[in-house]
Amino acid sequence: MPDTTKRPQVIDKELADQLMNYKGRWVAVDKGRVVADGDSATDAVEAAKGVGVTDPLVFRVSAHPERLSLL
Amino acid sequence: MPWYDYSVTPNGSKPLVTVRLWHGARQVKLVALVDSGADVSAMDASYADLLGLDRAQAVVDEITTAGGGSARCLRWPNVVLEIQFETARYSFKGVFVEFPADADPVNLLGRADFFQPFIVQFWDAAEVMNIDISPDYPRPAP
Repeated sequence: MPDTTKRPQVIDKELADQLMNYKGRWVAVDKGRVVADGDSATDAVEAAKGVGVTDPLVFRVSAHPERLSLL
Repeated sequence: MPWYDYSVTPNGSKPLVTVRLWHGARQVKLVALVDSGADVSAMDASYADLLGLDRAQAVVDEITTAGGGSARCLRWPNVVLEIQFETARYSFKGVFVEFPADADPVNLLGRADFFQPFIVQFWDAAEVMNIDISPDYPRPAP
């Protein structure tokens, strides 16, 4: 049978609202919430390890979310 | 053929997915935009640092950004890098971009790698995409 299930959003409304507090920062996300942040991806991962999260989702939050990006 | 909900962003819903980038035993889980308009995948160069790639050993190109500026683009052609999406793992043929400090970097999954193993369909009106990772029907021969 084909797999017709629907996967949840990677970034839902609740997480998107949290990210507005981290403009321009690298964040580590676990279970749908920000658990750490840093100036670089490496910093964010190390900070996440400090709170016991070893496999976070890591990305940089837009510094200018109001801009329309062409990318 | 699972459906993937678009994610919430300040600029509206976007087709974002979670992927892992692998370099040997080192890996990082990140968010990327599925972009049928991108010839190659492009990731922020900070991930290269996390994966233990030496920027001094990279092949460097200059690219023009959407805003008209320029950015350095790094490649490691002799290093085995892989992308994992769900359970599928395949060769990463993209680049790493040193985005300017005031840029708004977006990780892109492009046609040269992400679109090769899968059948991808976008349904913007419903804000979902279908990424068929294991079609149950025969594919036409390439």
